[in-house]
Amino acid sequence: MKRKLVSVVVASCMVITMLAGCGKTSSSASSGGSSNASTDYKMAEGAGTVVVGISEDPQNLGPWSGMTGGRVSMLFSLYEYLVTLQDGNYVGVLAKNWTKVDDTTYQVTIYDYIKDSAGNELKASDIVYSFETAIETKNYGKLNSIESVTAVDDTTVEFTFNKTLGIGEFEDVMMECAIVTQAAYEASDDQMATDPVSTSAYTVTNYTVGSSLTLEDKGTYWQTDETLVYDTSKHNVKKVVFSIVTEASQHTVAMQTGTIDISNGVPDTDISKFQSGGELSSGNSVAVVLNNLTYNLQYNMSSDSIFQTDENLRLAIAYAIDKAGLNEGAFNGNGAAVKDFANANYPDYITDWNDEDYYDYDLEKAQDYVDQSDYDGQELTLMYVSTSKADTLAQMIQAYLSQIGITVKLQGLDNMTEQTQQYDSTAYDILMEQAGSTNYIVNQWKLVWYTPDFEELTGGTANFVVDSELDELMEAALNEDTHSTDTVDAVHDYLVEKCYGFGMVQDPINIVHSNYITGVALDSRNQVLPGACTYAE
Amino acid sequence: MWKYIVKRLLWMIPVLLGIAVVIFTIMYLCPGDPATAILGNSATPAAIAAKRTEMGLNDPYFVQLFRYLDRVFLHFDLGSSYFYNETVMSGILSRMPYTLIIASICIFLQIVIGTPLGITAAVHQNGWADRFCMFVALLGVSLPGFWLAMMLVVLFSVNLGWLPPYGIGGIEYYILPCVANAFAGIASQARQTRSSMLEVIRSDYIVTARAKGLSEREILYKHALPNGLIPIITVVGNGMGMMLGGTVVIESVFSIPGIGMFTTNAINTRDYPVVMGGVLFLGALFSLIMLLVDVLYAYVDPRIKAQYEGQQKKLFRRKG
Repeated sequence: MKRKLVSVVVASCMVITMLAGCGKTSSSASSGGSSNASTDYKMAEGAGTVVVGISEDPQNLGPWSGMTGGRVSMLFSLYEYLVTLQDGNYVGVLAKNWTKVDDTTYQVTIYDYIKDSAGNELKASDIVYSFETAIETKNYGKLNSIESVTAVDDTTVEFTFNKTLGIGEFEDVMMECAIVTQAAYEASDDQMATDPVSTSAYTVTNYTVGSSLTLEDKGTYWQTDETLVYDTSKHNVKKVVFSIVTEASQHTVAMQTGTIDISNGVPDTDISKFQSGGELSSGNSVAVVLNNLTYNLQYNMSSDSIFQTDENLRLAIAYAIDKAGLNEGAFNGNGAAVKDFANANYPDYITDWNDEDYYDYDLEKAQDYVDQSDYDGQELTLMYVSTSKADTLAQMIQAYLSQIGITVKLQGLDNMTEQTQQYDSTAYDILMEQAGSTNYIVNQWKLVWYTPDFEELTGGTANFVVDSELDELMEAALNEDTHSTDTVDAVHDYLVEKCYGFGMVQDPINIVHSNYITGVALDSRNQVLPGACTYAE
Repeated sequence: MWKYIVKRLLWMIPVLLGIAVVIFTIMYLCPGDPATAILGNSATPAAIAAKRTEMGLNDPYFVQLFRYLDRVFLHFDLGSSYFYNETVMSGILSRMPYTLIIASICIFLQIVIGTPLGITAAVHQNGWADRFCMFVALLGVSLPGFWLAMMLVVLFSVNLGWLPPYGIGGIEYYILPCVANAFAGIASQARQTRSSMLEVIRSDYIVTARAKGLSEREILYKHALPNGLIPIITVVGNGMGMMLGGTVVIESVFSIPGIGMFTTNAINTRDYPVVMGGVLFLGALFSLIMLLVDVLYAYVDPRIKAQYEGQQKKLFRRKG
């Protein structure tokens, strides 16, 4: 009897396991879905609608609230800005043109026929109102350089700054503040947290906090000249649903069952299933784009660290890490090894750098440098923000450095903790970060190597470098009037020579999408722009 | 009895005060900066410092603590979220229905499945029914909730296509989260009911009842079960707390915008008022549930009611 009972129980367990693990991978529609047999793909909600899976709740749809991951996903679909980035160049959205009056003054002329979705006309005074309200929130650090914003007439706005702006900085400021009409904002009961009214083609028809956000094109978009409608303003699909899927593995399930049409949250380990020949590739594709962020290593250059005076150790580490190997190991070769502290995406990147030696992997050289260094076997702490990609990179770096006898302790932290710890000179020896800018390479360098931004906290650059020559070179490269191939090259060469830190790899961004989407469009922050994607007829 | 309830309610004040101090201190000591979270990774240290000053985060610990306690306990204000444009209380109240639906269905499942399973196991002690029920119970307490949740999604959403994998909507959206969340509770309930019933079944009065010729059904439901209810009610009360806690995980797995997800998102973005408000709210709710459990004891067992009333009389005599 007992044996019989045990066999029944074991058999039941096996059946359950088989049911869970070996079921059909049907292309038939799941909940709320429909299928299109002729084109062999699924649509979550049918033609004219796209469902975008996002990992976080936008939390607050208001134009000037604090930034969150979920907010970044939908901002460009919901609001318009004075300018936008199109193929790496700044183009006007609400701004017809802009000019520099003097070192600290700029004038922007806006179109004279802009209307929001409620029918309010947008004038220069609304631009002033938007910027002033955004500045008041103190949620936008980039706006701190604004001294005043004034309306010259109905279509002209004058910006005065409290300093001379660097290259791309004015355009950055114009892309930082979402623009709405004062009338619409004041008419909102909750500062547009749930019912935004903007000049975008899309209006919010439903927002269930923490669950989904639905936008619809009402056909009243103000810009009728199609040649002036750029990606961030396009409205190729009638209805956009942002579906909030907090658990990463559920993105895979949602794509598999056709609950969503596109996602950049599918875990890396599942990407191959959607790629050609993969078990879930039927009706789905993966668009791979290189991230504009670059993984870099920075040495702690404070007096608390061995690296401050030991250039040989810095060079040893730089030569011991195989950047191409990192790309293969961590990103299946879909990323790219870099030849500068930043990557080659930027317009001011100098292509000659591709042919230069940028600490190209050389174990013998690395060993020579470590032998000449003062390193005596102590454990070095590598601090980084823990993500699946960063964990893999950190483990590979640990393995590479062990080949030359350097012991590394890994310290993976959550994003918030890392940001606090990074200005503590005793918290780490080596810092791995991912950084990038939306416009010029010098603005990525600025995130680490620009002393005025960090002096108060570190006494030097972000990683405690105190070097007046570097400061001078950075000033020249950042200044709009002196920014040139020569000044950019000078900073690059100096950073290579000093080796205070170095760039390693650019990771790929994998966008899994249904074949209903024939072309994927991303904004400058690598978020899906559903309005600019192209769709099967 | 009412006096006992009032006394217990008054006792909740120091309990909640304790929770508030502990959670505030944890958040204060927790590394990470909400100002940085609001301004983004590319914000300059100067901008972050200005934001911190504006948010009052640079004030000393005791200043911040007393400001918080004053606001919560004297003005009944949990504060406002740094990100959502709403007060913490309205945020909690708008999300509470999702959490309460899940927790209530789970506790219902725990009672209606767990109790009969436990009774069956006790009545058929050492028989196949007992072993089967206890095997199910063992699975329930051993399987992690998030793993079970994903297995259910794979089976019922991906392979069979019967149920939606995540989100909110009709009742079908709650089936998988509730099953995944309730399984451990059902198991605990079954095990506790079995052990409690076994103890009662062996009592002399049950033997007497049997000797008097009462039917097994009467013995079980009129004599054994009421006497074994106290530990069972305790498990139900604890289960309610477990269900509320469990929703934190389940809501994240199934993308349900309840209090659990509200609080976990807030932890990631260091939205201190939401984290502290969420924990305090759940603490208060759990305290009320435990009070309800104690009151239920009195109704189930007259000896306990007499004990509560006796305490009051003793107190009055001492004062008088």
